[in-house]
Amino acid sequence: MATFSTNEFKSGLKVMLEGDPCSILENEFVKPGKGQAFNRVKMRNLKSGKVWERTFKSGESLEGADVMDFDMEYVYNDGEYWHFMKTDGSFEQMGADKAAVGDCVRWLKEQDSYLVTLWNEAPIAVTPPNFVELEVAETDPGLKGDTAQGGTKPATLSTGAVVKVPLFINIGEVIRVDTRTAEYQNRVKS
Amino acid sequence: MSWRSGIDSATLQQRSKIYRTIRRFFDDRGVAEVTTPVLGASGVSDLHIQSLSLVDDGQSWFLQSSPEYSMKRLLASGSGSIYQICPAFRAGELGSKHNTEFSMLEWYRVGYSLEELVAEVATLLQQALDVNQVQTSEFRFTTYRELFTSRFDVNPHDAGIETLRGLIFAENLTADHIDNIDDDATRNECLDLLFASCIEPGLDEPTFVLEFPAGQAALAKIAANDQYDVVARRFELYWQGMELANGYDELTDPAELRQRFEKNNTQRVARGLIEMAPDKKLLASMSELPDCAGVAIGLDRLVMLLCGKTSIDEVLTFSRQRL
Repeated sequence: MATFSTNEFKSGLKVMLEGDPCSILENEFVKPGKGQAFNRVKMRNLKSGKVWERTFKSGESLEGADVMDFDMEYVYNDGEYWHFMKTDGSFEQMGADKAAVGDCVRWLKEQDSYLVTLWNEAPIAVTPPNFVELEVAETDPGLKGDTAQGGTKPATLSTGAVVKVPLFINIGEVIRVDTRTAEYQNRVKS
Repeated sequence: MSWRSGIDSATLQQRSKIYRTIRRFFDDRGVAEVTTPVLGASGVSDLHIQSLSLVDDGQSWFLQSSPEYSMKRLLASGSGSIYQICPAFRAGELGSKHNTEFSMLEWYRVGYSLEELVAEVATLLQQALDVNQVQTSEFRFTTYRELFTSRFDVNPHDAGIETLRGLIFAENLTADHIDNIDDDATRNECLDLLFASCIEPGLDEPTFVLEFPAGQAALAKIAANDQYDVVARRFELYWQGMELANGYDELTDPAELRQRFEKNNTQRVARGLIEMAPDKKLLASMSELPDCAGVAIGLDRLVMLLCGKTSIDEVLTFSRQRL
């Protein structure tokens, strides 16, 4: 794997730090006029999702991380692994463990596509699309005609996610949800 | 591919006005504007400043990292107080506050004490603020030790490397990258990292910091202060967390200058950097350099602050990324 010097640390570059793959977020060049130059770097640890801030001497280098993102279709869960299939025609399948699936588990619907991050060809993170359409599995009965603004109620979706929905939503209806905020967007006509 | 300039027309006008303010300021005081060569036969030996070089006629030449050497030879030739606005070049320096080629305002006052020069910098800054209708809180005057002690409870002038490494560790800054060479330069690298990471970003109001560590004297005199610390007769000006000016009570002792050049080169070699031959003509001129104080201001940064810009690209016609 190639190595990258601090002046190549652009946003999005994937590097190895302390044994974990990280994605560079910000890189600030700092140098007192007469003093030592260094780079103040913010990066996201792709395994834990945590943001790390580190200082490097300018010119220092880090090993690149073999990290690739793939669009993959969620197939099934065997109790331990969540299995995804490549959509590039290869039909290659891979199992992601609980740590890799993380928070995304509550948005996983079979046959939908997700962004799977592979490190050394093994899944380390799964990212849902910004919007997903899911069926309401459980909620209090809807109030007929109440389509105006008003209160909300909790609804459990087919994947197990719980979101706040307007009072008029009924069991069996499909709704659109923003996965970044877990907020209800609208009802999907079926 | 964008061929356009990074500076908008309002900023360009304002930059031009700032230049007029500076020129009027020195004109009013009888300080002559000079132009010295951008190309020199020697580069600086400072450990942390790398000169750009080029070859002509089979000989290496250096683009100046500051006009200091030429201006000092001019002072030694009997010029009297002088100022200059000129380009300066530093290899490897690129970022939101750095550009490989940048503009410097540098001036020397014959017979001035360092304190008189600090007062003059403050007067110029106040005029520039007034002309550009920029409000700031009152100027602050402090020392390196005062800032360092109030932040870390350690005297920077006598703290050992292990103490400094301990502070770096406690601040969660990675110290692995500091060269493991136990010398004066390593101590200064530790101080730089702590100062630039933990103190400088908090210097919001215009702050004059006096009495730098002796190891960071560069070409300033070294003397004991009232607290019996041996310090550099050097000051810096910070504003909005950014280094803006660097001034010295200028070293005039040729033997001491030669020693500092040699020390720099020893440290350069220990770190695998190329050796820089001492500037022989500067050395030869030192015996005739009058007592003086000098200061350099990063002019692009001053324009950034006066125009409310956060990136140097917004005040330059064509920054390096646009070349």
